[in-house]
Amino acid sequence: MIRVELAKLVRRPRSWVIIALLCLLPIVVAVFVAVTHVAPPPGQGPALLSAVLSNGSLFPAAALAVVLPIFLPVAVAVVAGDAVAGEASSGMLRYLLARPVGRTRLLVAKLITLVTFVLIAVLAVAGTSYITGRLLFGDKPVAVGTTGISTNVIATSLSGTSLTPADVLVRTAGAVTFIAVSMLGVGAIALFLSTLTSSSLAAALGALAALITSGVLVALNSAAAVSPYLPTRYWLAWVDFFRQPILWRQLDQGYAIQGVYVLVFLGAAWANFATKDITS
Amino acid sequence: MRVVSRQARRRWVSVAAGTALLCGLPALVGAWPVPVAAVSVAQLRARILSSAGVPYQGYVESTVDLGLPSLPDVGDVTSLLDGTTDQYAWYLSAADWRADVLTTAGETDTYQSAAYGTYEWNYGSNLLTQIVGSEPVRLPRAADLLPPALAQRLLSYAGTATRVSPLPAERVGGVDAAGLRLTPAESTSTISAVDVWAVPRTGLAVKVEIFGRDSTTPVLVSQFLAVSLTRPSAAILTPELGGGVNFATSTLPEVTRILHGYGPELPSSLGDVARVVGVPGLPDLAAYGSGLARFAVIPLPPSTGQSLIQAATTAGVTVQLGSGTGVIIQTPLVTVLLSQQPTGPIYLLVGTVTATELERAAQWLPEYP
Repeated sequence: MIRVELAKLVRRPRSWVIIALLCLLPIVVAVFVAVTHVAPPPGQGPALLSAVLSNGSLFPAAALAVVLPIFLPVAVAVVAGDAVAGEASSGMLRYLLARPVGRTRLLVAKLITLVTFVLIAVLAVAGTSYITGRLLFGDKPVAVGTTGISTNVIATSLSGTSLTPADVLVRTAGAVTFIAVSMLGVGAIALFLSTLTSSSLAAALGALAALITSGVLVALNSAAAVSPYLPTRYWLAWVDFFRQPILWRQLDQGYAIQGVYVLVFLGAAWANFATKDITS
Repeated sequence: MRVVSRQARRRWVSVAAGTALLCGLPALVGAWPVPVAAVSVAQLRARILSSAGVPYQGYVESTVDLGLPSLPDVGDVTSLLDGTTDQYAWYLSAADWRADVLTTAGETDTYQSAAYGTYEWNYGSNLLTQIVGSEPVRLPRAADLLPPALAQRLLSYAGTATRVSPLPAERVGGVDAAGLRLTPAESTSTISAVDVWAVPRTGLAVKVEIFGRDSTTPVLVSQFLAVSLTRPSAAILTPELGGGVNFATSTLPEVTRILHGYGPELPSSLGDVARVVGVPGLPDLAAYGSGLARFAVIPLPPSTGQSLIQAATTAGVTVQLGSGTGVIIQTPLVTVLLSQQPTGPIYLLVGTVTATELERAAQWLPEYP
């Protein structure tokens, strides 16, 4: 069942079009920055984008910052919203469940497919932006203090300390993992909505509405009491991987809150889908 | 049909129960009774005052709602006193600490090192600045809002007339803390109460709340969201000049020159308000008042004074001060008065006293001979 769903994901041109579009946006940004040599000042615009002019190794992290607020969650909501509702609207759900497979197993297969899509998407953005960064901005070492050029220092952390290639690799891997996990909450919400309706669009829009509401409340001082429990609250905490030392508090909370959203909405999806009358 | 609906109901009930458990967990942990500390308020106050050597590291969130207008030449003070500031602090002693102001797009760090001196790192300007010389006076900085520093300062200001009463214990940042309330005796103070929670054994303050005269909710809240009572490593406290980072040295800030370079000598009292001798940590600051009703008087250079008055006029109230004029900005906690006499410098009076008190004091400010 899982293999079938994964094969469907891989064979669908739509999946690759979405991933290609996700990869394209950072490339466009990189081209503009490389041509004009004008990056947003440090502390403004997408995180770490200012640092890529001196060395392209940080561009994967900057690229993730570019796609994280809108494009990545939209892509995840579209794929997750289509997971069950898409089958229902195409009339395939009835036939799918006529096979000797349980609905819970089908839901688990859909979830694993969603996780796979998120991982592929995030890794594709990181991979293509790494190549783009190296090609457009180079990978030359940066000057260090009074000692001149050190071949082992390629970037600076948000705390002003030197980062070696190994540091950048480990921290980027941490950021990629955190961002992928951060997308699971929105995926779970969309998957639940997908079991409620036979319209993929409605499920995706419902998940996006939840995210926009969360984003508005996070920015609202008067909603500070509920802010730590909102799905988007810790999305931007991935930059903590690029501080010295790495600050784990918000990262841990980000992982925990995504875990709660996944558990709650998958549970709700299971409760609804397992006993739902399938008419299409 | 009935079997299906029973199954559906069972599933939904189990999901609802799981959701309720997950959502209720933080409230449950918060409601878990905190053991009452076996320490009197007098002991707690003494321990907080002598906690400058207690090491810690932790994440602090400070929220201040003063409603100050944006004023020129005061750096980030306006944003510091109006909004939420997130900091991570590593503290070994008063001579060795580091405090990072964190944003999602960067950070601004202050290093205080016995071995290396004072450094400031600003990611926005990609600049590590060494502060050369001592700072007899300076503008407020984010590290002043850290609960231990803020509590020690407020408790040291509170006079013998200040009433100290116990507060129920709270769990703050993962540690159990005993509480005390300071109620100022001075009727001229804009502060109605200061609540402080601290670790009973060490006196490390973990939460501070300041209430204004007319506010039922605190105007300033500074608390640890997570705290560890462990010593930070030396490497964390050492400033590092990273790759591609610019470096600069800075001598005493402009504000010191302002204090020493403008206006006549300030008197030992303004009317019946006596000057504070040797303000802790700020020896060159001319401060007046007592307890939690204090204000500073700063003579300004003409250009700075004029631009401050222009900025303040739109947000404040213009008042007549004898033969001169003044602009008052009243916030729930801090009152600002810019006083301009025909033959004197422009004075900035700022403190935790009422507008009436500042107007009264301004009448006694010296003019040029």
